[in-house]
Amino acid sequence: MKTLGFGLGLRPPHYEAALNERLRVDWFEIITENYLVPGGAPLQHLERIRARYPVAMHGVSLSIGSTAPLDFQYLGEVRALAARIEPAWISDHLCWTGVDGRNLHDLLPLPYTEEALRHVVERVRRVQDFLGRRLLLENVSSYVSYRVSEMSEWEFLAQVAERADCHLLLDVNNVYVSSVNHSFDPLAYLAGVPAQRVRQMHLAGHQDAGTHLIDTHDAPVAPAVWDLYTHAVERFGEVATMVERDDNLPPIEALIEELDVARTIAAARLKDAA
Amino acid sequence: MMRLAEIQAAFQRHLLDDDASIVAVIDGDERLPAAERVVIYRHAYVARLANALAESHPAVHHALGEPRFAELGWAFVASRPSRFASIRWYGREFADFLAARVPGVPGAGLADLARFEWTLGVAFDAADAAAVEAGDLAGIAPQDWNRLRLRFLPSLQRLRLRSNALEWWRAATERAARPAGWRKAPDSEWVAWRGRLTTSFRSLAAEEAPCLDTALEGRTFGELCEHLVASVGADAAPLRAATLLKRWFAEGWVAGFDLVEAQATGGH
Repeated sequence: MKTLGFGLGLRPPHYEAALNERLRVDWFEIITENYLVPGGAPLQHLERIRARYPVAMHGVSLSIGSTAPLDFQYLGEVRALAARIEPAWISDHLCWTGVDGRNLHDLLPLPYTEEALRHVVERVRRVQDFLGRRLLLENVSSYVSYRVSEMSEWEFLAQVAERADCHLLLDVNNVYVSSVNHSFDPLAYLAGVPAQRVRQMHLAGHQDAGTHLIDTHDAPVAPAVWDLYTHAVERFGEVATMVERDDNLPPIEALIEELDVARTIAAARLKDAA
Repeated sequence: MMRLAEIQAAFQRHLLDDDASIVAVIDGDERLPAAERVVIYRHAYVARLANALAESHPAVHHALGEPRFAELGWAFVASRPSRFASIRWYGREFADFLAARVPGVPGAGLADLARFEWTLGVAFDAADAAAVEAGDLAGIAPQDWNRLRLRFLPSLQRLRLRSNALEWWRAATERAARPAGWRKAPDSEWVAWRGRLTTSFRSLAAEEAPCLDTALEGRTFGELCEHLVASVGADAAPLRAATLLKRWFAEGWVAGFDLVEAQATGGH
């Protein structure tokens, strides 16, 4: 299967380069919510960039694990945007973002219980039916785990993917950050993820707060995350990969250099495997 | 065992109300106890929303300076949870909050400034619409003009300022000199809109503002003339109304027009 290759998160400072230059970027990922606006420059730029590059939609408000009802107004807007820009796929996070009509604008971890699993699986199926396509769900980074959990995060993720028949977006940085914060083996995590479900990988930077790591997306990808990416490529093969940078944005060339590191790692590993 | 719904409700109470009951179901260790783990989320929640507020109100941020903006921003976040799928819309009530929270003339001025930049933001990504030209009216017969109704760009926003907020906005965005302070000013009427991609704003003359508001309410040219009779007299009203219309077309504000059915206009 041909993958999209190596992409970047599209941020407004990149618009001009994305529109006018020949960048060593194979595709862009957008934050879906930034384009759920009635009109204006963001949508016009996006449509022109879409004419030059494949685009994937990455949402932060699906709240697939919430016990609040699914927000079909939001989903309708996501579906309309997808009809307009024809994304390669639509992704969001395996998390919850609020209950009781509130949006906490954070990707909050779930307890990994059979109850939560059944709940998420049922909602993923409904969302996929509504959107008319499979979702990609991403593992989040976390600072808490729950005493009530009955399985590991990767067992939960694998079960969601298999039972709901969805795809996965594996965030390698998130695996690493959570492995440090919760003292688990990140390689065990990778080994537990069903390889045929992984359609995309994220790479990003984090900060070391001493007692824990914080998923900040404001720094270059850390060496330990590159190491883990090497293992991820071995396990998951040729999967679309992107660098996600939200804050402290460097010139786009610096992000493309990081993409080149990913390209080199992937090429070397895939050659070894062949 | 605490069920999913109870866990989420307790977690949310921690973020919004500093309730600690969630700590009982969180794993902790010596390096990072459970209570400190959940606090990471609480701090991130407040910081994220306060940051969104600063991004949508850069001129208010500039006017107040970081420490005072942070203080007011955090107080706003503590009292107003978000109900929006997109954080883009968080902060719509910040102007009212500033007016209530900051006493006197500065409070009213900051509220003006917040409203002004929020309005520009609304115009920035309002729905797209193409402007039509005044020449398109050529086919309307003279006897039908009273039934003419305009439809404006969705981005067109009206605003009233009662302070020197615009000086503060210019200090933040155009590197103009920082005003000496906040002043009350006579009411001034403004309109903001977006052409294809560029957001613009201008003030309205005293006579133009109520006429534009009348037209924005979906009233007809005939009703606009009636509105003007009081100020300019019956003879001058049609010409004055036509002049205003011409200007609105020239600004690119008019997205379409139609003729209202005769009985709906009250006998014009």
